[in-house]
Amino acid sequence: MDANVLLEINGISKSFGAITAVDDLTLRIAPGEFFALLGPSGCGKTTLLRMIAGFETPDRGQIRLAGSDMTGIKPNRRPINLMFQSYALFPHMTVAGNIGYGLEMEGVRGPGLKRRVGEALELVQLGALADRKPHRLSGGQRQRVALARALIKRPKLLLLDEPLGALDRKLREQMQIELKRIQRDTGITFIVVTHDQEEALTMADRIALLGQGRIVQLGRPRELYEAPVNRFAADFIGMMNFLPGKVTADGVALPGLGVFQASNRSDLPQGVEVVMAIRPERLRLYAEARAAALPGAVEGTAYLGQDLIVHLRLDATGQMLIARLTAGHDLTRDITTGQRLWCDWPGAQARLLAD
Amino acid sequence: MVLSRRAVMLAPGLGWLALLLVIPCGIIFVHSFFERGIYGGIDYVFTLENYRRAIDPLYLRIFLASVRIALTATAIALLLGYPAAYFIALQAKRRQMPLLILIMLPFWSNYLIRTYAWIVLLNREGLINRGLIDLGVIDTPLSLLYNDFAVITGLVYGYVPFMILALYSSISKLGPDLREASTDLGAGAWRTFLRITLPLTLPGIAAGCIFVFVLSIGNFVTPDLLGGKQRAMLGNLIYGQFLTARDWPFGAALAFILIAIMMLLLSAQAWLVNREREIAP
Amino acid sequence: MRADPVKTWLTAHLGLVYLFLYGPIVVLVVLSFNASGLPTAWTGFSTDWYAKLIQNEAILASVRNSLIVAFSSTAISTVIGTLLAMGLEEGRPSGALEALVTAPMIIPDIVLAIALLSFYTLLHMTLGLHSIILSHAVFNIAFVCTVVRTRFKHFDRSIIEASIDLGAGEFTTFRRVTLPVIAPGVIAAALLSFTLSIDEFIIAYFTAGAGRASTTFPMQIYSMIRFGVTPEINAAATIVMGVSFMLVFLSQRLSREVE
Repeated sequence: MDANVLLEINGISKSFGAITAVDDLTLRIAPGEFFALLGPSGCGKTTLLRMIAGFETPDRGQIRLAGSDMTGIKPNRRPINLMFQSYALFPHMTVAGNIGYGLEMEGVRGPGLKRRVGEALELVQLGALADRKPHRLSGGQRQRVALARALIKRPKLLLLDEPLGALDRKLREQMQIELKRIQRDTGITFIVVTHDQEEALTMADRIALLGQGRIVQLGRPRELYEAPVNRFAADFIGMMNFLPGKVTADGVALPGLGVFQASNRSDLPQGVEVVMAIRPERLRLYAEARAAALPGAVEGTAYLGQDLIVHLRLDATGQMLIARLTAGHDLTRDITTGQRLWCDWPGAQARLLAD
Repeated sequence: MVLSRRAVMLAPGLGWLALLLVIPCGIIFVHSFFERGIYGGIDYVFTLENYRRAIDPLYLRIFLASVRIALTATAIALLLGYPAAYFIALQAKRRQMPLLILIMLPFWSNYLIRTYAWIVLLNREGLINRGLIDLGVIDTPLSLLYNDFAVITGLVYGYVPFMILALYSSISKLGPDLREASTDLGAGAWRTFLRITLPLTLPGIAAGCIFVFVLSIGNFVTPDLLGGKQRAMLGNLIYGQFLTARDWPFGAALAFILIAIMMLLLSAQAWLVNREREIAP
Repeated sequence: MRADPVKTWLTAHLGLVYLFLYGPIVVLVVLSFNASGLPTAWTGFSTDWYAKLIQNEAILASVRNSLIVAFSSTAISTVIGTLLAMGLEEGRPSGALEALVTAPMIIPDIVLAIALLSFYTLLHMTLGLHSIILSHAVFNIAFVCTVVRTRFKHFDRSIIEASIDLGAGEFTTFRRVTLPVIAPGVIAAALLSFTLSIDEFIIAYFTAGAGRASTTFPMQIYSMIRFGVTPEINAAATIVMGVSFMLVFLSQRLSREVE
């Protein structure tokens, strides 16, 4: 057994009727990791999570936790806990009753139970609400109860299904930091399922981007953002401009725009169709014409406070580019719709995607 | 494993219903094709005579009278129920429940006793006749009891709560938005009702009407206690075949005609509900 | 502020509907305290009819029979109907099963009554309270099942998985989570079942068999009404309605407290 592997998923598949939810997926997760399964709805991430928890049985493949095979082990016998998307709080029990439930199942009673429930309440800062029923809690408080209830058993692995999905934006950002703190303090391995790329980027040590039951890309948040492996990955994480073209001897020819350089895939043979991907914040805009800059007209702007989004239609091809300017940029004050601007981008910031 | 656990939960209930609902209904279905025995039993000789007899003028008349009475009761219940349900649905949310509970409360007491109350009210020395005489409206008491009027009154009284409940659940689902949108687009209150509310609550109307009609046409107690001796309805006819005439096969055939009517109406309702789902998913 | 004429009209209409629903009931209650017992004239307040009622052996016996029938069929159908509801909620929806469970609620009582009588006769079964209990359970199982299922529709089924995830076995999960959560539904179903059974007349009438021994309260009321207007019925009616309304009030209070 490898001490650096806590969870080992070997070639598991799961179908529901004609639909393949998880397709021959292999994954290793290290102890103490904060791992995110990211993907659009229907990509199989929840099915994968439920197979790890034991609520679904894989058609093929194997799940091993800390070296032992989980096949045939019921969910209530696995040292894994799940925080449900709906939180699944028991409506007839108090906060303390909910949190203590798992320990009661282990036979913990009396002062020992009380002490550990108190500690768990402290961990999620809910000490004052121990005797409330779930329906008298706010969404954020319910989320904390669900978290404490899943953590109190000190599982080897905690699974969180869209943990922040039901919260409003402000609370979500606050809880992202809170979840990270709790994960660090407890040292428990977390696997979070989410469809929110921002959430995954902020919290996770590593992310597996899932599409159609398979892992599209696996890596650290920075790798996923800066080096997407294909168009799906580039499109799913952050905003991206795509310009189709062809590999030539001098670089990449974008029809109607010229020949440009890219930071990757120098291995591609000439003549291959590619897509050049540029992040909006890497586009540079100028008020006057300059060499190699492409002219275009401003179609619209969106003011985001610290940033300004500019939609620019290129004169040469009619393609639309999206640029993101930070508040400090000279141009942000006086861009108007219909205005003419010129744009370019550093070759080092353009990536080629073959599919 | 999961399957067997589910089977254990389902078995007693489904078994009970199979043994004491499906098999007994099957038995009377079979009986309806046999001849009546000389001493009231069943002679196991196949015949369609029982169904032919059901359309004999003597029985057809009773059958048509039942339909007419049940239809009248349904129509009155609808006319009485719709405005009431509509008004309850218009109230503030927290006031709707108490108003509805008040509508349904009488249903929770004994049906016989509620029917009996109308004997007290409608008989020749009853409260209504007394009142009318005391007020000088009439000189001699009216015969309000033991006729179709009394039966229809009793049926409406018994089943208008169901009508209101069915209509209410349909009207309250509508919400004020559609009505307000219609008013905003220039329709008056009356046109909004005719063009928006009424068509969209049609499934509720159908559900309520079918409910009241089915309960009325199969009723035994109300025509028995409030109707005259000659004004038997289908329910009384079936009762008579079993307990007095002792012609079980014929009674069974009548019961199956009743079930057939009911099934027809319920499939019509199911069709309407499906159509509604297509309109508003 | 001007009054909306439609609203005024609707208010008046609703008032009339309530008058229609409660007028007859109020008349019975008032008459039950009338010394003469007749609707013709008020001859003074009296509780004599209640005294007469509780001395009437036949009525008391019929009440006892009705209570036996209602309690037994409620106990049977609450357990079996709840299990049925859980079983149906767990699996894939099936049209045939749905139809089977709906049928007892919509089939006319008279049809169910003759079907059961035919069945018992064919089996040469001795009829009595037991056959009424068996018969009442048919529709009560269906009603209990339906009421309990509405409760299932209202709760998040993932709490059952949550309990298992936290280490509870199937039985513990049922006892600690499922049952407490559906309890208001089960209690409401039991109350409904009890009310339906204690009020049911025609099926009891057909399946009671000959002889007075298994006469239920509605059967007794029916024969009293057929016999003629007896003031004792007014008193009986008042008590029955009082008890029914109290049960409804109780179940309302109960379900609100749990919410």
